[in-house]
Amino acid sequence: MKEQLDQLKQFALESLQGVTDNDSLERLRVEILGRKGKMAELMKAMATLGDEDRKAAGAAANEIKAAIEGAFATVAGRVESAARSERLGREWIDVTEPTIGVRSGMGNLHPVTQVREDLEDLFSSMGFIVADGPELESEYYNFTALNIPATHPARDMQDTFYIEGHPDMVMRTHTSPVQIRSMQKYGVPLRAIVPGRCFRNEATDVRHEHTFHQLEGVVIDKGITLGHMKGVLETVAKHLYGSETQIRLRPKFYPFVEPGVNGEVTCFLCKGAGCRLCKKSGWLEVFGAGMIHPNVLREGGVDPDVYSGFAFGFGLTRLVMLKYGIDDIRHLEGGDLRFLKQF
Amino acid sequence: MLISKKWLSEFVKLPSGVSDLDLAAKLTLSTVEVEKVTDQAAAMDKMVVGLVVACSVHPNADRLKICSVDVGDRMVQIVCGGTNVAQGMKVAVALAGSKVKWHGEGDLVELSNTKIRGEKSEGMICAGSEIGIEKSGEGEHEIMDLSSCDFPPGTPLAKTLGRDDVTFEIEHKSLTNRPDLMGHYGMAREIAALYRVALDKKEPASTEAGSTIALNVSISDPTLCPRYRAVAVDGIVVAPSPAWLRARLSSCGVRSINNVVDVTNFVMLELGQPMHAFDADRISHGDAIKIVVRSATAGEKVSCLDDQTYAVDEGALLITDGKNPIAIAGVMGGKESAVTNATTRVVFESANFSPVSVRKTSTKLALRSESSARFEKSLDPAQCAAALDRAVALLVELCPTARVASNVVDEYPTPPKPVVVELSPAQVSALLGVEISSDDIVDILGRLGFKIQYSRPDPNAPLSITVPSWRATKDVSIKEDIIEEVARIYGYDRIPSTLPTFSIVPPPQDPVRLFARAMRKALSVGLGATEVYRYAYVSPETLAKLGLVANDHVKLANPLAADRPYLAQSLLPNLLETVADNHRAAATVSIFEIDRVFLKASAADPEAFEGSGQFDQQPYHLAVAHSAAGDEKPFATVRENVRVLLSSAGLDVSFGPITNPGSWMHPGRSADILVNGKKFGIVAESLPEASQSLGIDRRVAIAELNLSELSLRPARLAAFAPVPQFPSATRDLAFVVSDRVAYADIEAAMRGESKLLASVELFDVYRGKGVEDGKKSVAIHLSFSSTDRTLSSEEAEREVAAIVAVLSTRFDATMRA
Repeated sequence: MKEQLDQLKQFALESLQGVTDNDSLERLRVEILGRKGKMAELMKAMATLGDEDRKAAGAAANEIKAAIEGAFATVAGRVESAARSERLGREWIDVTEPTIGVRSGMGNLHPVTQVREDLEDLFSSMGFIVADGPELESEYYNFTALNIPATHPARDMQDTFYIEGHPDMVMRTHTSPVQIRSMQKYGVPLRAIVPGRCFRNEATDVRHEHTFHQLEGVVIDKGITLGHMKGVLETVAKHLYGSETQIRLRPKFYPFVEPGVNGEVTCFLCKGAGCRLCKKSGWLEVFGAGMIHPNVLREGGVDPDVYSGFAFGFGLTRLVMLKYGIDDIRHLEGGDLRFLKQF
Repeated sequence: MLISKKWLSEFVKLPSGVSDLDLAAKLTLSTVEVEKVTDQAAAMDKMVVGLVVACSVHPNADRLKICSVDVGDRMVQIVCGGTNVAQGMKVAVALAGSKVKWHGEGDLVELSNTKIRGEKSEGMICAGSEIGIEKSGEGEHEIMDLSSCDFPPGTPLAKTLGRDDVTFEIEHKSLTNRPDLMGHYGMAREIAALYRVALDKKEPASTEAGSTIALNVSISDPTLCPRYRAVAVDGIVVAPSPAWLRARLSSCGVRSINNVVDVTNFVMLELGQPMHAFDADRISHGDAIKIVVRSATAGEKVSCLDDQTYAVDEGALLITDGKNPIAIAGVMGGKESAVTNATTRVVFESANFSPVSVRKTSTKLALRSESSARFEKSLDPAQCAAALDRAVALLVELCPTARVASNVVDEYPTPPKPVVVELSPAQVSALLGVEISSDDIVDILGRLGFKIQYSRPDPNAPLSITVPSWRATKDVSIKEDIIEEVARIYGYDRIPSTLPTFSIVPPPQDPVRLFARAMRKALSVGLGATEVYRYAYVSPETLAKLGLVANDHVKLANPLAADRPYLAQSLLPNLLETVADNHRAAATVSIFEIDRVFLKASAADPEAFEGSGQFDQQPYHLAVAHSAAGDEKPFATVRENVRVLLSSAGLDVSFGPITNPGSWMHPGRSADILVNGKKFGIVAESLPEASQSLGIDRRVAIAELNLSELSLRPARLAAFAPVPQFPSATRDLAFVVSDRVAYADIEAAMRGESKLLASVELFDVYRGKGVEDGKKSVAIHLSFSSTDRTLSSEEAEREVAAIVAVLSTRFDATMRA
């Protein structure tokens, strides 16, 4: 009997080895463990044995049966796992295939918007107001209040767009009128920036545009110094071009500041070593600045004997061109999607 | 403006070790921007004087010659094509390694030893144009003949031609407020101050008066001509200037004319004072010469040196001989009185004219000259005397027979009072943020020519500072101007950077900016539109194509291009142009713009746009345009985008039939955009013929909103309502109604009928086969719920029945099975 049981176990293990699918597994299960299967036959035969023998054979039979069932369970697991793999494999999709017929939600912000918002966020974080003003501006705010007298060359027709029938109105040539408007509106102490569109009457070419964007800034309080101006501009330069960036000031005349300077930053491309971008100087000119002229403070209703302040202006358009290496300024106001979609 | 190093060195000697680039950097950081430093000799490196010792015809080429040339240290063989080359001639030789312009054209080419038609050639015998000398006298196919020079073979060519100077190019705009630097002397004065070295003033001797000519000058308006100094010189022989003088002028880019004219230009370049020489015989009446400086009368014309006749404005300042104009003051001399080869007597003018008057006249006439460029920057009248003395002395030096023939006239009715500024050292520190001692301030200002009075023992004693005349014409008049002088010499790099301290107050926010920013983000990131920037100007043609009236627009007085003179009242015209420009290259054009527009009243009154503080005559608009190949309903896309956009900003947006359709709008495909029932803009498809006239051959839809107004609408505050505790009952309804029944009306009717109706969702609209013409089939999901119970099936059916009834009676709807 023991021999027959061992043979059955042997048979079961050998047969299971070749099983790869559920159907054959079930057939085998019926053949060996079914009610009329080989195991049941042996059990039936056992009934004919004597007490002693039957007891011993019974114990052996249970052991063998458990072993065979264990083997079936292992193979069932193996078969199920293979079937699952096969099923998932059939569900493969091409993950690189673009979605057809669903409009992509990702449009593009204009590069000037991106740089402007970045600077707005920087200045907002330092407590600056982001101020705004009209683009069609009075000659008073655009020139007179900024210490630019009627005889100044900037007022010539060749530089400024004037309005027909309204000789005292211009398209603002800079964002500086908002310096005065901010002083009048918010009073002092004052920290404000003014990003905005400006207009100059000059022919367009690769490097010139009659419409461009500036970012103006103004800080006024008691005891504001040129050292403060350097500190703020250095903060901006480091934000734009990295923590190693230095700034350099040179004398420059603007009617609305005194002293007036022209500001350069370490060339971000060559880190100051000198390259084509900075024309071998190691420096890039990116802003104008200075201590606000007492006449300008007065026009803003601020007493220059009590308060002092500084103002600065970045060419936003220039910052954008430098940042992205854009070689033709006309792209920026041009509306060509092949350009705009790059940003 | 070009500054010559050789010329500077006559007035100032730089400390040893200061290179040309050092000087340029110092000037740039302390005074004016040096754009470029040019070593003239560098361009003539490896070029020497050569002597043609032998010259024979090239065996293989009729037009070429083989020359043996002595170049000083050796003999070289050069093949030359110059028709005039000959034995015994001194020539300009460019040796291997030098760079020449081949036949005077194109880029520079580096020479190397080579063979030409089989014969060795160790360099090139040059024409002037090949080495950058434009007017060197030789004819076509000829080389430059240097036989008349005294330099032996081997002498560097730069030295031979007086081209061994270094020039500094000063950026023009940086001189705007520094008229004192518009000559070599003034620049040397500044450099002497920067480097603390001595300035050799070289003051010329005062001109001794002559007696053969009586010179008389009168000025009608001294505010236009504060000073007029003049003297007559006779015994002049007009001749070419000597080489040294020609080289000086040439280094500054000025062409040599003759000795008299060159003297005036030389003095201008040296002292910064424009001069003029009149032919005395053309303006005299016997031995008396009368000069009257007066304003032009209406209709006066002046024939000038440039062979043009100018009609000057009434009031423009003229120099006259008492009757006729002989020059436009400070701008250009007259043709009649110009110095010619026959001139023997001249009157030198050294005058000072009003910068405003000169600028106005030269701008009006579009006539700019070296003279007007200087006068319009406010010159120091004090320099008139030295300039006249220098001119006379130099002319006598060049032309020994010349002598002063007249009295020296100096009409100078009211010399300006010295400018004195009071300043305390503490004020300097307070503005700059760095302590600079009284002694340092006094030292810096002293070097720059300021005279200072103060009581030395007290370091805080106020300084009484007299501004030197050459800085007092415009630039320096208040204490901040003085502080700038101190700062730039002290060095901006030595002022420490610090950050100001402010109280912690959140800055006021501009609602329009915040709103615009949110819209930009939603449109680009969320809705896939690309932002464009367009000009503020629109063209009348585009307006006409859209049926819009140009006359309503604010107009530029001086548009850059005549085709865009109007300020945009709407972003639509330029946005449609942008669609037209892009739609062939892009299957889908989905764009938006946020910019100001300019309503008619914006120009009428400077205060009009200030009233509300929002510049409501120049509001920000937001415009969206959408067009895609094959998309027959771009309207739906734009409308949906606007809905999402405004909903995202917490606004209750809806769309109503268009109330005031624009000329360009499709009448059946336009709607008002309503927020809480008030109109804030439109969404519309453009008329096919309007699109086509702009070159767009597919459907385009546009939305335009007044962003400034919208931004002031309060956003709806979401109010919490309990999350439903009881399940809702859903039913679908399908029915057929007339095509023209508005969906909004259908939904409103259903909601009005059933209190338990929680949501309505349109899921299908169908026209076509199976539905009668002029009708549409509409399918809707309805969802009913209650806050206090689970609705029974009967309750839901009752609600549906009520809705069906109202649809039938109100819209003649027929239910579908």
